[in-house]
Amino acid sequence: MSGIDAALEPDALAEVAEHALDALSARAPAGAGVVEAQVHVGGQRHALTRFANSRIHQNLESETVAVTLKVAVGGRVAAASTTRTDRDGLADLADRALSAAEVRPVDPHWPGVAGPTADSDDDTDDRSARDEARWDEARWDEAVAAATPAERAAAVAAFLAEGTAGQDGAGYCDTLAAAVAVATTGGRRARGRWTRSTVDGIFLTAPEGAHTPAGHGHRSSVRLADVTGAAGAAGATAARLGAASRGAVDLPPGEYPVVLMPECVAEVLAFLAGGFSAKAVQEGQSFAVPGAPLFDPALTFVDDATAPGAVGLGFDSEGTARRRVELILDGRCGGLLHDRRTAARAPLDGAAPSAVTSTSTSTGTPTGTSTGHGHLASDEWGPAPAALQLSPGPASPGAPQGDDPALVAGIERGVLVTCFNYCRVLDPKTVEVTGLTRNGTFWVVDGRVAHPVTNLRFTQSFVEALGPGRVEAVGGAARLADCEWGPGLVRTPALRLSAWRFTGGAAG
Amino acid sequence: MFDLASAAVEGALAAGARYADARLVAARGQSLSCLNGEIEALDSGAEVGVGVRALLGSGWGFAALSEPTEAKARATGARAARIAAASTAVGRATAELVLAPVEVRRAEWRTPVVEDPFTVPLSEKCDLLVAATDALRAEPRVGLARAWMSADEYAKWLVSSEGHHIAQVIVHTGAGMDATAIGETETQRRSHPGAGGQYGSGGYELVRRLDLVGNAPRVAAEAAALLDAPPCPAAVTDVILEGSQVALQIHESVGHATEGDRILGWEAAFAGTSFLDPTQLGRLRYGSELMAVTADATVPGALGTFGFDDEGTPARAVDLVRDGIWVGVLSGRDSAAQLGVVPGGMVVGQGFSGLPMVRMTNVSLQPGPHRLEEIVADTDDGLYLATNRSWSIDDKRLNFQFGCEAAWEVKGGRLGRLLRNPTYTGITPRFWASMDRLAGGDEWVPWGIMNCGKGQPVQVAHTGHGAAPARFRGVRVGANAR
Repeated sequence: MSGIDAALEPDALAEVAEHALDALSARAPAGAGVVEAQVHVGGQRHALTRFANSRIHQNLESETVAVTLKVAVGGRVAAASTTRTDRDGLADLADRALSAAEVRPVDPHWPGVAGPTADSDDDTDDRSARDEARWDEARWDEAVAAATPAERAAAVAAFLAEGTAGQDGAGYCDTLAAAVAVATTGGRRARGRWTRSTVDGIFLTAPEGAHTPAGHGHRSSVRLADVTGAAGAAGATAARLGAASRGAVDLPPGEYPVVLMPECVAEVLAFLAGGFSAKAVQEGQSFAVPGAPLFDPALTFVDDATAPGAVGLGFDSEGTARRRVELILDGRCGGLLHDRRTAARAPLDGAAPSAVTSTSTSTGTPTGTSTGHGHLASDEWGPAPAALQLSPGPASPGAPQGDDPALVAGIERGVLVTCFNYCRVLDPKTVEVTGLTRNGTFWVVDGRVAHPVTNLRFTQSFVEALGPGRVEAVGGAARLADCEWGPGLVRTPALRLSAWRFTGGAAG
Repeated sequence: MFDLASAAVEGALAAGARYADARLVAARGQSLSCLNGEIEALDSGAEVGVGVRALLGSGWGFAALSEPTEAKARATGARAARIAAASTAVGRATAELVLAPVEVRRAEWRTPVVEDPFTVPLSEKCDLLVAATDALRAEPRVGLARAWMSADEYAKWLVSSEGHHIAQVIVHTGAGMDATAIGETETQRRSHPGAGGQYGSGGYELVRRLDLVGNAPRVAAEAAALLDAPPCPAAVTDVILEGSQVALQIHESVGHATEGDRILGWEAAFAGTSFLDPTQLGRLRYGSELMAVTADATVPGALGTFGFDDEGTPARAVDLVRDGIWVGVLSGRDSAAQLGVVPGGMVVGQGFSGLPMVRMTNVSLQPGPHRLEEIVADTDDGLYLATNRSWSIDDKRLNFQFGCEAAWEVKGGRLGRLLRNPTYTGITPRFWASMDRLAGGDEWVPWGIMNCGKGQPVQVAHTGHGAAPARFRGVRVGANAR
């Protein structure tokens, strides 16, 4: 494969996939049993302009192509990957995969590779070429792929311009363009491409004892113009919050009503989504019981790569079209995220499809069907979310993206949290998580921000926090928010919750 | 391979860079995982690519490309220089960026390996993992028995515009296992040898030393017992930490805090800053006088060991804390120049596409004079906490909370009742100041951590931490107890 731009051309990647299958076919041992294979070819151009102390200090571009071949020889499964796309590299790839498969015990749960599109035994992916083109247009922005260091620098400059005296800016602007082609010996072919751009940053001021006042701003989108055009606004948010964070006082640990801004909610949702992975359920490590009313009825939480503005591909690493999965519908646990392996074991989910009720066009996933949430490591780690969304509440006219003053107005005495930091799971069954607040935490009295507080540690079950009766209000505007898994995964409004457990502060 | 790296450097210089370095990296890896007697994943990876840094004025640029040819490598170098030019166009003016001088070497280095992990038959590896998980599952209440191993080899060719010409082959190998007992409302896990396993620089001899099958009965029994154990109560008490937990404590509350780039604010937006102020270097009390921490990339067999970092600086030992006083930082050439220290040789990038940045090498708490048995015997009322289960620390590396897999009461100098869900919290310098007993000798182990995340975009590094059990007085435990 030649040329840097070829890495972003699905057709060029599809050609590499075919060559990989050809290399495998030429090397598969005769008489070894049925040989199945799945090839995933991913090309990516990722550029990131990073700044700290209000100047650009790291600036990078990386262009890579990776080929992953998974083979099953008589049910013995192994995978190999390479960044070489030449004939010898693909031959070595096939050799490594085959030699590893030869010694692996038969995999009793091998689901086989995906068959041709619209295979009746598999998901229905009936998209026509016209649909593919529409999908591509919605998920791809040529401006992102062609973005220059100067354009990213200009976005950084716009962010930094919003800082006030004494404020130092730190963060990044990035552009990510990616293309994927998947091919299987069963006849599945899928190809596509997607883009994302982000500006994310903070403004800090001089430390006040152990506390450093800071504020955060973030914008992500499929489209470059949405981000570069909003870089100043993101900077203004960060500067405003950073300024408002000066003079913070300690707050005693305890349970308080909270307003969680989108970055916090995104963190909560990303952790909860792990419990909706079918592998976690099948292993007994999840809270999710389809149909169980574990959550507040105000919540509708889906994974929907087909939704407008969603970032990423419309199919997974196995070539399965991504389905909309209603994870929480009106407070009840809904469907699970499946790949082909977990779908084949789906009766272990413990619930029949009829247990899931829905008024949407998607009624949950029939047992035994992948939802298109496989990835290159899902055999070991389980299916993963692709495009999480929490439905917003009634619109608040004029509310900035994701910021909803009406939520704060509903708090008598409580805490407004803008970001979480370093969250880690204590117990996967309850999603009890410990973490800290960051980049602006405020004490609210009678519906108004009274003063900033120093960062707090929390220890909270996310399932409990969003439980029945615990969600007092859902913000009226949702946006793509950052989380520990990165930008572009979660679209969410802010939330007001009746209680959140803070277990410590700056003093320990 | 040197030709490709050289072409990249030449491309950067031709495009106006005043300094450039390039790494051609050819890496291969193999990983296996087993769940409940079935191999879940058997993967082998290979990658080759070039990563180039260019310095133009005071602006850095970095560009990386997979599957390079000489022409593409040269073009990638030129691209790095163009990116560097854009770096200088925005932001606050500063003094010209200086790279602290380092010895320029032409050299080769290779990780000493006794048993090449890539020649051990895959069938033998699979059989070991299956046997380990089968042994774990002999305990009926163990619902999930996992075992895994991996081997990674990084061949690097480094060229710089100053004349560096270094070839290295670095090998990391390791394995581990854990047993998860699943109760009605919670799960309990025990791991061996530590959470995530144990890794080092070396070959398959590292895996054989772990004796996965031999340790399985103990690990499984403890996991099951935890389901019935009472929860760790909330208290302020003396805490003895097992060695692998001390290793993580060092990583989170010393290693990251002493990274020079964090101290300079370069990681502020993501990983955070540090509570350390450069003006306090040489004066700040970090911990008790028992506390001596060294960053040393020459420790035989430790995970963070190499011959030269990714700037070509020879591996060396740097004291970070001596007699409890903060005396050093982790640094690269640019951060060292700003902080006024000698470069530490601690700049590493992930693969070929990771921007080289300051990383921990082997950040170790030097061994003490005691033994665990003595420490326990000397403790009248406390807890012994073993094996990490969760970790969380604030953006300045001050306020932390760690959870461990298991704890045992210590009463009258003896280990007693098992407790589940133990956690402890603290503030970094207060915590280290409370350390009054520290083991050493053969109880000092160079633990390996495989998942150190840092940077934007995030990179994952492998770091080493020599540590032994230690006692800390008056620690708050059970913060999540209700």
